[in-house]
Amino acid sequence: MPITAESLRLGPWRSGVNYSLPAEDMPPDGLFEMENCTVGLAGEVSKRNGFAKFNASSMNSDATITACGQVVLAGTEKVFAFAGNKFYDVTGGTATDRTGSVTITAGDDNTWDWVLAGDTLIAVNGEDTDGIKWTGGTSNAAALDDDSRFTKPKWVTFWENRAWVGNINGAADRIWRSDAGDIETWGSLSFYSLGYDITGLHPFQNVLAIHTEQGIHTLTPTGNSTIPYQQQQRTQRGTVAGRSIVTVPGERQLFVRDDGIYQWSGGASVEKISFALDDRYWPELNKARLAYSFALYYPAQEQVWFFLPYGASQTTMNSVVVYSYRLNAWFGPYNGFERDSVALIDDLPHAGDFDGRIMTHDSGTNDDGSAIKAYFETASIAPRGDAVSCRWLYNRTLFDNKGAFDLSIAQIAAGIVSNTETITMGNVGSLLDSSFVLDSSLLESDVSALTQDSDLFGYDPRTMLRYSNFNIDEPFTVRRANLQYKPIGNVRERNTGIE
Amino acid sequence: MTNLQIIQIALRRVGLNTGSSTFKDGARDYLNLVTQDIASREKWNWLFKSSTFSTTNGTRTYSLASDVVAPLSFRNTTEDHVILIMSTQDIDAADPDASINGDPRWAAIDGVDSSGNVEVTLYPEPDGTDTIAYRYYSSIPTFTESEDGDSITPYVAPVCQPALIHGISALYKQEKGDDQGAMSDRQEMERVIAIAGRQNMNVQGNRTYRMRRADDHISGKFSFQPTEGSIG
Repeated sequence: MPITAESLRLGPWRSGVNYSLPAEDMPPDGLFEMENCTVGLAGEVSKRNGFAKFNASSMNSDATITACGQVVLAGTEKVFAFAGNKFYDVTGGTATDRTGSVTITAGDDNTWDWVLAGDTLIAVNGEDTDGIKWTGGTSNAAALDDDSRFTKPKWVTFWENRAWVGNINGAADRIWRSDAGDIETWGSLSFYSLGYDITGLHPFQNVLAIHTEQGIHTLTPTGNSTIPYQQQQRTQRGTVAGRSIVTVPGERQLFVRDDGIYQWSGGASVEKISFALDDRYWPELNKARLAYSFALYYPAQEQVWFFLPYGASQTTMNSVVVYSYRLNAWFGPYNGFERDSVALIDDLPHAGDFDGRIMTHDSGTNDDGSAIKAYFETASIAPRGDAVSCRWLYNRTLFDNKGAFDLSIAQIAAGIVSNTETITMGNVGSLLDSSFVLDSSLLESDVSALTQDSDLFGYDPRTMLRYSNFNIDEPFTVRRANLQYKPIGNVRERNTGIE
Repeated sequence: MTNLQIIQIALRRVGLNTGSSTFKDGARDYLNLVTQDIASREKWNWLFKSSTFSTTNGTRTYSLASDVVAPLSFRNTTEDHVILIMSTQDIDAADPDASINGDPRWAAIDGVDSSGNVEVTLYPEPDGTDTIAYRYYSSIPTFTESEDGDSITPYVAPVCQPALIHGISALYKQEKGDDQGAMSDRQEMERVIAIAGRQNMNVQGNRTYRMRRADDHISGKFSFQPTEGSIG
């Protein structure tokens, strides 16, 4: 006999997670909290993919990977890494020491800013006297000739066929440019002083964006050989972390500041885009360490990954929040690991750890052999308003058939004792015309999404769900949930909470 | 079933967490209400019990067991004779100064003691130690958490136990404002009690009943005295 009930649908969760709203004020397509989950383009929530070692053998006795990347040098795709006091060619996952005679000072905070300048890799770290250049092949790295104009540059970029370095020793507000077409010739007057410490360099549209915490300054080509660039301060806010600057399609430049993540579209103002991370996420970050945060543009997924220090005394980047610029939504954090650098290698995010390894992210179903602890929490919806008590009957979860894994579903509400039910997702059936055997096999479903019901309990105007799976190699994708309830009516509550 | 099983099945029907002590306490309160309700409906066969007490030389008054609702009969198993129930006024009339002692032949229901247990006065006042056996109709105790693991069968027969579940569920749903659900459960409870009642009527098999003579040494509400003579 059918159950006389009404239905409340939660999801698809295209609005992503919102840490700035209480669960009670979250819309049905919003998520109150999550860890290690992603939101897909259809609004489905999945356990994030895992990571695995890119280089099987640790580099430089488990040294910190202060930079890594992939560039094309002399027509060959090369993967490189800085590990402690050495520089490596890590192409194919095998590390070859290419340090040569350059001086590299080890230190977790001696991270490198690098750029492909034509056919030469240039890297600087603000610590070692000279910048480093590498032309690939079997050659070693070498010191970048800077004509003794500067030492210890912190930021580097390549724009207008020139190399540019900023924030140098003794002049943090200064940016130098090389001659056009010659990255190792630096004129004695080829510099600009901004008055503020330079925090990052990033070409943008037809200008070079020079970030300071006090604003974004631009250099615009003039076409005049005497005064080749016009300097201008465009905004009153710039980044605090040069490695966090990324430019996404639509020509928007995203960057981290102390109070959140901003975007700049080239105009006279910047716009904060991370309001959804306020209140319950951003205040937990160690602001003093945000200068060492970094970000990655991940085009295959149309995402930007921000690596941030979560915890009042957290020094390393242990939390990744993800911005989907297609959904214009946030999700994450991803956690369970700490990273010091990141780059796109073979179209996948690769991040350097503190043990001599580059890790290939967004790959596999475990974190280098460990379980991924993933959960997400929905909005707490009162379908008939806060005055009307509802009896919660059962929940129907729509999920992808990824395997016969258990998914825990906890029901949470102020007046309901928290209760956890388990559903088994998918089945281990056999495919027709493949492994299916008549009279012995279970036929695998040919639909992508399956449903299963789980019990709900209690009486309360509202309820929310928490889906979780903490097991290794057990991915899940939840498309939406349908909660069945019976409206009881206006019932006066004698006490707060459970009674 | 144990008390806890009944409580948890009822909570499941109400849609409340069966592990929550808050809800279990609430359901136990309702269990106690429903058992008293059911106990009052009929003379349930499973509530007829028996017990004993021992007399003491010079003591006239004795307390019965705490679950005694109505004493039914007494007998002296030491001296092998019945003890008839009479009123306290009759004993007072027979022995106004309460000085007669010997082998007690009569008992009067004499109110309750300071603990609320039913008290009986024996006449004559016992002059020795005898074992007095008695039958009675019992009450169902108020259950606490410590009895959650105990079987409820000694107090409510299995045929009637589903009524407890429906009764708890009805009261709890009513508390939560679900009058429709409460009504449905209430109907189920009444249905089960009716079935149990029919079974209760048949528990004595093919026993027949007849009115007793006043001189056959059986106490009862009704008696008759044959008049001497003949029926013409």
